[in-house]
Amino acid sequence: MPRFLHTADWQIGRRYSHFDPDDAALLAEARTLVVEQIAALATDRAVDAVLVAGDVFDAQTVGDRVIRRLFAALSGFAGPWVMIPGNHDAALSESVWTRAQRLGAVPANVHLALTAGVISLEHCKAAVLCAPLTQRHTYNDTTDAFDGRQTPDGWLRIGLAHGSVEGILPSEIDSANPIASNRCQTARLDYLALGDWHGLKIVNERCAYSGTPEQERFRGNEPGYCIVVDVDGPGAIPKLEAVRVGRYQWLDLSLSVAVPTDIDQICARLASLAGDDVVQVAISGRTDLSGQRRLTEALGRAEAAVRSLRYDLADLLLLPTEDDIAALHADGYLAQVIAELRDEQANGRDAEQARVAREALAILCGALDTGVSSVSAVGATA
Amino acid sequence: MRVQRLRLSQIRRFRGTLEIPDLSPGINLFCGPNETGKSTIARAIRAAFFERYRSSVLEDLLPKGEVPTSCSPTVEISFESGGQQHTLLKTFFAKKRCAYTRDGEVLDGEEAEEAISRLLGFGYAGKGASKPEHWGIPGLLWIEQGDGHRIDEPVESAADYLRTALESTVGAVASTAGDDVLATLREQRDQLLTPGTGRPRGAYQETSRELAEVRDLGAALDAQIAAYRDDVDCLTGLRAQHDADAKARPWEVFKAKLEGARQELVAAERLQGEHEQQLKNVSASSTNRELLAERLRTFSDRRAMLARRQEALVAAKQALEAAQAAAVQAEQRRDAAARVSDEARTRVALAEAEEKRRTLNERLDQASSEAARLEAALAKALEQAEELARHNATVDANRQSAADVEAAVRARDTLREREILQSAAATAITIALLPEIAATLDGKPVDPNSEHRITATAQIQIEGVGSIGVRPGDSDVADLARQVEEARAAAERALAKLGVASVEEARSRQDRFKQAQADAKAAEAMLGLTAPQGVDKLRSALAAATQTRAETANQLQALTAAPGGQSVDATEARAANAAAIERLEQASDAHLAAAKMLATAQAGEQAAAAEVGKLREAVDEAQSSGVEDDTQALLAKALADQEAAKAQAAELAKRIEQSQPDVLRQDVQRLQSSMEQSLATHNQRGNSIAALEARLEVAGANGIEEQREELRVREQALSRRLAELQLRAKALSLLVERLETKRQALTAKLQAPLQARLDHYMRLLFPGARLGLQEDLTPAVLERGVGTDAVDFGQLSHGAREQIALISRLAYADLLKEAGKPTLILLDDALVNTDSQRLDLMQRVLYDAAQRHQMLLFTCHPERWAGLGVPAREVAGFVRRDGAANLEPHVA
Repeated sequence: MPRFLHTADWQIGRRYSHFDPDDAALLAEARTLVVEQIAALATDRAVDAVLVAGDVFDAQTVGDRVIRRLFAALSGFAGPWVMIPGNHDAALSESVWTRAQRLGAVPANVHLALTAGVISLEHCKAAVLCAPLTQRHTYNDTTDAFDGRQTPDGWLRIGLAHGSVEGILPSEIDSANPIASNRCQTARLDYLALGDWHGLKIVNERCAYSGTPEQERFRGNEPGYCIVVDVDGPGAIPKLEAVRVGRYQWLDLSLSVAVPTDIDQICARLASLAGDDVVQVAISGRTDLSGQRRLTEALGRAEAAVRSLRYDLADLLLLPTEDDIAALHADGYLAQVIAELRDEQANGRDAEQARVAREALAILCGALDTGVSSVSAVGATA
Repeated sequence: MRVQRLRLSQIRRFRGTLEIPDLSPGINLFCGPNETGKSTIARAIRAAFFERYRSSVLEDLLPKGEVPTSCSPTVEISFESGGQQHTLLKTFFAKKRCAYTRDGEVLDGEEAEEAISRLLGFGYAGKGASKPEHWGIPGLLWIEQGDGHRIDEPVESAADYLRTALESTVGAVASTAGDDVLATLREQRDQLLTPGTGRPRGAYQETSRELAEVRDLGAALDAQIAAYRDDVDCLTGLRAQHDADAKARPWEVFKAKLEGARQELVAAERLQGEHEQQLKNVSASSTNRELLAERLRTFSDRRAMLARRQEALVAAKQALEAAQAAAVQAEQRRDAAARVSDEARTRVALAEAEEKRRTLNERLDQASSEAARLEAALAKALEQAEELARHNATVDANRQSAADVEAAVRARDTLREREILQSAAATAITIALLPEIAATLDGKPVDPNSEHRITATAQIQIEGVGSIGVRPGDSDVADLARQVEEARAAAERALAKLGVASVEEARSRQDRFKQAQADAKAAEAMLGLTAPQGVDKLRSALAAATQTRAETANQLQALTAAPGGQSVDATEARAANAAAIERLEQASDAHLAAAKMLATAQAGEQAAAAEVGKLREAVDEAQSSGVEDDTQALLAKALADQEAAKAQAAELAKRIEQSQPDVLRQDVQRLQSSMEQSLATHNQRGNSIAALEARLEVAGANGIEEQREELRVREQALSRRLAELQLRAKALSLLVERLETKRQALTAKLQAPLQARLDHYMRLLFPGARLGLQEDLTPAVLERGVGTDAVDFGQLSHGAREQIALISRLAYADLLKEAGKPTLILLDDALVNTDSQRLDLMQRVLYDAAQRHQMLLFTCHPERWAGLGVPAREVAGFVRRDGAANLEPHVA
């Protein structure tokens, strides 16, 4: 019974500009490491082939080292790998693929479908119909040609394409090239392995997006998977199993402090974050100095625990109480200034003035309260 | 605060005890010469308050020669403050101790020291001796010797105490930590922004710069990426064209067309060759024809020439005959002319001889008359010369010196004068004797009736009678007589010199001399007329004339007489001769010309004969050989050939025009070029593809998009950091600005009462002036009213600074007093740089201040402070000689 591992959108070479450069490097590295995971999984599940549905590379001109690393990462699976170029790594006259070939980096068991055609996998009697993207922007359905492709009788017909199945995905998808939603019928495909959509998505019983195996943005739509596809024989409905291979969990938290006890809940949530989490937190509402101090400490601890933490306290008003001010020994004109700033951060002329007032208040409180380090409204306390 | 009693022992100059028991509430003036211990008292008071009693570094307190182990410097001060009675006792070194009693409450050791420091408002040194920065309010009010003009440091070290005191007065709430926080925040702000202009600096500026750099790099990479993508697209296009060309091979089409065009061109060029050949043939026949015609023309020309030559020969012969006749004639004419010429020459010779004779006769006549004239002149000249010689002799005979003549005249005149005088003086003797009676005078007979004048003793002898002696009575007579004698001698000498007897004679001689001189001159003139060059010349001229006459006569005799005696005119003869010569020359020339012409005619006749012979020979030869007929036949053939070639050439030209070889040639060029171009384009495209591939390979290996992504990571990180720094800078600026504003407002509020006190004292010292304050409450500028510039405190004179510093301190003291703080003012030799006039004013000020504060003033010039209204007390008067031992505190 033939078995395939369906994956896509590796986006090797992707950089993470929103992160601290050190974190960004680790996250970039994770994209190659997950390919090693996929190879291991393929070996573990004894699949007949790994189908990679495009966007292996994030860009055409990635460094030679990145190319070599990627192909080296495939060594964990000795069976055939079938890859098609996607919109990020389209098979142009000169492309990341031609460079890989020139470098001699492509192992013999990797079948690169740089032109539309059929790749025959004798050992499992499967014909892989490939619809690579060969232009930077493609606007027509490259799977049209599948309908007329002849394959040996009794062989499986497996489609491999990169694009957007018409009518089922949100409009914000990556590539412009459409794929007819009834392609499996018209081309008599047993399975159509798709790439481009970064989340796991089963389109129908014979067609699915595996999504990217390693998450690379906060928008969560079930990334981190690949699909093990079992096909009994030609015409049979394939059995699909989504297997999680991604390491990092990307969390986008939006938290609010309405009452003082909310601080406790937020601290608890922050404490629950794990080491492979990539987190961005926005906290809004209002707090006194002690609340701010606790939040700051909780953020500091969370930051030490997780892969990456970014927070935004721009919408969290700092409202020192009379007790706070007394505790800071802020008397005389210092107390007046604190009161003014406290007022301005809430009722400033504009957002910018309010932000500056809030920052000024934090700095002033920090300078007075040598026990608590000054906490800026945004940033990482690295 | 009011110090009532002061006691000190074993301190510096005071080995024993000094006690001032009765300090008054106002001014206490202590005086004494230098080195009497005024400063020791001031030092003791400072030590009692400021120094820790346990301090071991205060060896300056010890009297000279004492050691810490055995000596115990002690100060005891009793004072009233806040309605309470206080006593402070401090003993250092050997029996170290501190005791402070406050209304019966006793404090000891450090507890006592802390209490006293709080009361007065100062601090202690952490280690070692107390320094000015610890002295707080007393540091401000207790002025050390020589420090009166300083105010900044004391105010700074008292600032906290002052502010606290002042705040309680004005009721404003200052901020305890305000200044520190402000300083910290300002420092933090200044790390990000330049203090003056507020431009980014440090990390802020650096981040901004780095971000700009990264953005520039990003833009450069974007350009590279765009170029890379263009290259990839270009490669795609080039490859498609290249493959299409490789398949279609467009250059082969051009090659086939080129072959066809070339063949057509070869055929056309062959026709052109033939055409050119025919044209050459036409040209060759034409040349041949002309040659033959030319040859025929030669034959006829030669015949015509023969006829002309024969005519010429006849003419030459005639000319020869004429020339021969002319030559004979010319010879005859020449000979005739020669004869005429000879005759004429002979006549000329005759005429010339006659002419000479005539000339000689004339010359002979001339010479004869000249000789006669000269003979006459010579005779006359000789006569005249003789006369001249006679006159000259007379001149010589009568020559005498005119001076000598004058001298003789003068001598005679002198003699006459003397004789007149003598005669006048002489004794007159009148003799009147009878005529027979002879008498002599001095031996000389005298006339019987005569009168004599004698000048010397004279003897008159009368014969027979005897003699009468006469002697002149006057002595002068003798002298006169002598003078007359002398004058006579001189007159005789002068005449003798002239060689004459009398003056008259000399005069006549002189006249004769002059006459002779005039005569000689006249005679000389006459002689000059007759013989202007002298007689000798006249004589030689005569000789020359005589000789000329003789020679001419000889020449005449030598001349032959003319033949036949006929006379010939020389001029006429000469003209005839010249004409004859000319005619002869003409005849000779004509004869020569005729001979020449004859020779020419002879040569011409011979040449003409030769020509005729030669031509006739040639003409006969041509006729006999038949060459001329042959030539005629050849000419006819050449004409026919030419016509045939012309027709062929026209035919060929027509065919060439049809095939258009120029166009064909262009076709070949064009097609060749097209073929090459097509191939070159193909090859070039191949090269471009290779180059592009190589370039893309290199660019791809650089991983530019990956680099771009990395840059984006940096750019984002920097942007975030920049935003943070920007926010922080703004917040810090806001804070600093707010805090400064508040603080300034507060300071202004605090300054007001101090300013009021200052104004009070300024009115006493500098009426009309105003002292401005700085933020730190120290004096800033002195404004002395309208029309004068404000002066910075630091730029005032030493004296003025001293005065202003003192009134500032008094103003502080007033405020401190109002705030309930103890105030005691110590002045150790203050205002030493102040002039007496100003010192008067300052005494006013001090007296006024003493209404509110106790003041201890030490001076070595008590007379300067006489105007304070208090007695000056001698320090020495408070010393007790009872030793230092057993000094116990007096506890009230």
